[in-house]
Amino acid sequence: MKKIVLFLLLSTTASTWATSIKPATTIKVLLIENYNKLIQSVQSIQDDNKKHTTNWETKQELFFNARISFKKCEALLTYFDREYIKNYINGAPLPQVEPKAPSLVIMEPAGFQIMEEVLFEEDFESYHQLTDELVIKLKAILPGLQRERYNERMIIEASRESLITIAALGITGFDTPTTINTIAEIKTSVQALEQILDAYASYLNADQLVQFKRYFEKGNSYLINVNFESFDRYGFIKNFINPMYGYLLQVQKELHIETRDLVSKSEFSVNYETTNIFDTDFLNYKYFSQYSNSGNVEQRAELGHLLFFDPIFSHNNQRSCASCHDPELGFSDGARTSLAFDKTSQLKRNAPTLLNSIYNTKLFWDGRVTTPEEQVEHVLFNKNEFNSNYDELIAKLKSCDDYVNKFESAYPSIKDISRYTIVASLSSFIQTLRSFNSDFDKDIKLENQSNPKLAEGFNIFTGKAKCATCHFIPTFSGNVPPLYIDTETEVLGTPAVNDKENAILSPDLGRYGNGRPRDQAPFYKHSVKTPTLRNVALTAPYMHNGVFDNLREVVDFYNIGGGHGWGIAPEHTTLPADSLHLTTLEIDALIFFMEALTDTVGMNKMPNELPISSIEEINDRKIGGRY
Amino acid sequence: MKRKLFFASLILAGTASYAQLGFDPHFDFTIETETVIVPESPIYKQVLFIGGVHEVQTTDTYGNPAGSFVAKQWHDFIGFTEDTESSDLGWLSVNHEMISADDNIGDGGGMTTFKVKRDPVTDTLIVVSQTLADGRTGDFFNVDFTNKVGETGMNCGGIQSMFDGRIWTAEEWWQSSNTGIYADGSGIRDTSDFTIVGSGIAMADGETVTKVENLNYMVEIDPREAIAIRKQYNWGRQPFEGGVVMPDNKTVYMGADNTPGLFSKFVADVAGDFTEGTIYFYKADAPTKWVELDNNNLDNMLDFQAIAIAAGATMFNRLEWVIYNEGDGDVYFTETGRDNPGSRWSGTHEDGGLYAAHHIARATAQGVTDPGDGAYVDYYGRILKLDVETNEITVHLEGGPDYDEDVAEADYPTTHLTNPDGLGTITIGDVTYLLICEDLNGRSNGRMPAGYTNSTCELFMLDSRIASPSLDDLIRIAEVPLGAEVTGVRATPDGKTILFNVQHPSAANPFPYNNSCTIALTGFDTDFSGIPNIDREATDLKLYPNPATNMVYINKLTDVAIYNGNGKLIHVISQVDKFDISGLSKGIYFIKTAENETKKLIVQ
Repeated sequence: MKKIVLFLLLSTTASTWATSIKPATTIKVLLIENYNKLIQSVQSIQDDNKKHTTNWETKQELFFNARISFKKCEALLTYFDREYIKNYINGAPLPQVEPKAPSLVIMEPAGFQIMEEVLFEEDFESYHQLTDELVIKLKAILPGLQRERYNERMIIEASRESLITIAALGITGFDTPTTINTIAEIKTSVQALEQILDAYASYLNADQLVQFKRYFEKGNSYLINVNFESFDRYGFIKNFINPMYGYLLQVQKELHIETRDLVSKSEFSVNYETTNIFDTDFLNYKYFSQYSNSGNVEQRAELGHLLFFDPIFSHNNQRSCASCHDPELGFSDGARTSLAFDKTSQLKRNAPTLLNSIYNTKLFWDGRVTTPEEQVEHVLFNKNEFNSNYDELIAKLKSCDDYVNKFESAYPSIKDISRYTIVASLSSFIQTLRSFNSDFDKDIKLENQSNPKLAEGFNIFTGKAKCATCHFIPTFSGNVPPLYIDTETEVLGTPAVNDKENAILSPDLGRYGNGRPRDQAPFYKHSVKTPTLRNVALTAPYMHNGVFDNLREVVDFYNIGGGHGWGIAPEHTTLPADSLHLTTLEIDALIFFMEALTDTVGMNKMPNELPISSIEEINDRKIGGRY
Repeated sequence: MKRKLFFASLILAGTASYAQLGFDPHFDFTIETETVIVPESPIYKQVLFIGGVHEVQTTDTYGNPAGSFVAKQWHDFIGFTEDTESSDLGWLSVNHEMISADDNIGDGGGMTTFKVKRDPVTDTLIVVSQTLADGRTGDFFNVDFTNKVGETGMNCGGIQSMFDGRIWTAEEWWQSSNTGIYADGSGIRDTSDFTIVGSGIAMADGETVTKVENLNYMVEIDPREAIAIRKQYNWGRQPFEGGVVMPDNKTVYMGADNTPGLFSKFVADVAGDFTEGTIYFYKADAPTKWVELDNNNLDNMLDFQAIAIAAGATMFNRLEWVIYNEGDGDVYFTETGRDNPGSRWSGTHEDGGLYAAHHIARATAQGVTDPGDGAYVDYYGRILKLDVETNEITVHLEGGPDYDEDVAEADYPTTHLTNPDGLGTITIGDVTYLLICEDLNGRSNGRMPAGYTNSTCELFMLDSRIASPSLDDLIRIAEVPLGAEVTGVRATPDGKTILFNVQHPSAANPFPYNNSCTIALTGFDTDFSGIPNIDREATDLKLYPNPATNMVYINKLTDVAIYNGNGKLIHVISQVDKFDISGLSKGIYFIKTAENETKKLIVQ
């Protein structure tokens, strides 16, 4: 078996073979070879587990060797069986709810990440059991990998995706809980990618080949003589990940390898045609909206913009969407928790920004709905918010000739003012609130000299402070790379009031209480959506209950382990208990970086006037509402 | 394996057709090409009922007056009740598989009924306006559960009587506590004890149960009047998914969606009266295969599964739909599977439950001790058959294909059947086909092609005359929108129309396919033919269009490029022996294969 593989590898370098064996074929052989090594490396752990004498160094070494073996095949493995890898090989070390099951069933975590945790907790019994399970799970998909029909498109797609994974997960220590081995694993991921792409070398022209070598040299240069804290992630992304991400697309097209858009008619969450992971349209907003592909986009967005500022939505015609989502405050309202319809009481939670909210697949702090269109309805019907309903709203809208005309022209085939056309218009407006051109974005996208303070802050954010393991690149929210089709929630132990001496946990059950049967798992108690940190300078106060007035208070909270540090962490808290050990200077740099994430250009204009109604008493509506 | 791979690469070397590594983005018009015509599809597609868009007529509920309100989403199940008294076709009943608070429709899940007739000219379906006995007038009607039998939850599958079209809805998702169904005020808000009245079931009427114990039944409704009739307390409280009333109007077969899922049978004392009769559970090693469970005692019925397990019931891995095949008179049902069922039924096995024989055989083949072993896997599910004479249950079609090292790569089926769920039949002429809906439990292990991040489920037909069908015998009818499950397949008795729901589609689909909707495909009586006769011996490229299914079959496994009339590459499909043309508008296209063979395709 080995002999044949060797021969195949050799043959790619021989000139007569150079153009005849497809790279995908060579790469498949490589993958299977690496995969077998991965199985062997985990079996080595298994063998060691069976020994009666425990050598701590050997145990660690065997574990990290296996991780390296995994990183050698991670990119392709994940592409070929993403769900399986997540469920059994390299998923988060947290329990999850079994999908599609006919009742609530909790799946315990499996695979490398939980193994690393229990290993360092010296819970060897669990470690042995998890090792045995991992061997079974690894062996089980070998026939599938051998059977898979590989082509060039898949390889390039997997490679581009792995660049996102390295940048948004790998460098943050996301899947390396102890961070002991993080840098070594990133090195392996980069080398593995280089090895995959090397199979295309004979198809590249001289210029392409030079570029290819140069990018990898550059990328590897950031990984020499560094540790988890000193690694310059900013430079690594700017000078390796981003250029390589664009380069691969260009090469794919030049080699006539079909792109994904030629293969699938459906929208994907990541826009394949962009060339930089900080591009405004790196994520495909059309994928996330319920009503996006319906044409007349600009007209609908304009109509949605008008509706957004019209207090006609509320029962008393005095509150608009902008009442709690003020463009000047980054589409939030500056209050700890928003003012209720009755003008005196408070709502339960803090008004989140709408900027980039289109990319969320869970909306509201408790994640109770999945699209902005559904979100609108919860506000419309809520007695403490708009206190209205469709019949009332539609009647009022229809009393305005201007609205009737605008709906007619925005929806020529439907014409009517209906639940669908109202919600679709608002959603079209939300889809225009895409904020990816902050000072930081401009800085990391440009090839010229950067602001070192930004780089420093970003490096702390993605490194020592571990912010980016939950506030993921590039949305800096809970939208999970590399697909960004899930939005995560976390249990932090957020206090009810900002009083550390008399700390009490916020009683808000968050996700657990959102009414979705599948979210009624104990580990979702107090779990709330991870919000975006883009435009965070505008959206104080912070947390789901607005308990912290400024970013420094928030960072101080996390610096001592969140709810752990306050002594109020509930069971299933997802933050580590230890301190981040951030210095004052580091906190300054971190805040400087976060405050450079502001971009509201072109997104805060107001309409000049509201449509006039034939119902006289609603014509004193104030643009944006009275309260 | 490796050797074969190497050999394959040698062949590729000899016939390498790509100038570079893929298809040229432009078609070379200098090549002479034969023309293949794809006639216009005889199938007409309609969206009948859109959740979250269409309004339903409600009754007075929780003190709120009757009115017209936006329908719930999450469509499931379609019941068809023929109208024997007018020229209208009949009533359709659609489930809403959800739990949500709603002041007007009623808390919990729900159901919508509406009536359809055929357009005499085009044969398409038209929703008929009705005025019901309670005065409601409109097109779509909310079935009143709240005032009649108490709220329902997660209405999933159901039962259609083969005798007269009576309809039951199944409350699938197993509810274990009042707190759970209350869901912080967003589920079923009234959780006070429930006193059963008017069910007509002697042992139940007058009894008081906790609110949660009033969920998880088969619930009969009257689709004509859009009201609930009774919860079948005498069939047991189980996580029911599907069932069928046999043509004798006495026998009911039912499946429970659980691991372990039990298969049960009710036999009415008097035809048509389902308030009195005997309930049985399936036990493969019992002399008659069926064991009675005393249903004159409500406590027995509330504890159905545990009692049946203790008595040695046969355990399945998530049973879904149950149908009667008018072609052979037998009963077919789906076992959708569950990836790792081991821990779900090893305990009930110790309590007395018996693993179904095919699971024991599979476990042996997988090299694990038994189906309760944590390493036992069941990724794809299957279709089972109950021979109503012998009461033997056998596997009719195994889902998959499972990755089997013994099959050559080139011979591997290109059709996948994954987690079959809904089942139906359609009789076209004198051929009865099974209609099979997929509902993917996951995307791993080849259930979705590599690189796809969303699930797509398909609707298949299978000629029921084939005694031992294989995956290659499946005929694909429709691929539902991204992320959606295809549910509730039902054909009209005239063999013209197939109805089905798409449930929880991904938000990324265009309107209205981003909502749950009920879809009708009409025209199967006119020009439907199954899989064409393919000349596998031919060495040159041959294409066989089937316009009814929008598929073009190829006489080999290859890569296909589709160019538009201007010669621009618009679509690439790898390693297929058939391709879908439903996305192509009328016009001229050019087809090119990996071997550089070309055809001109005219889509009419």
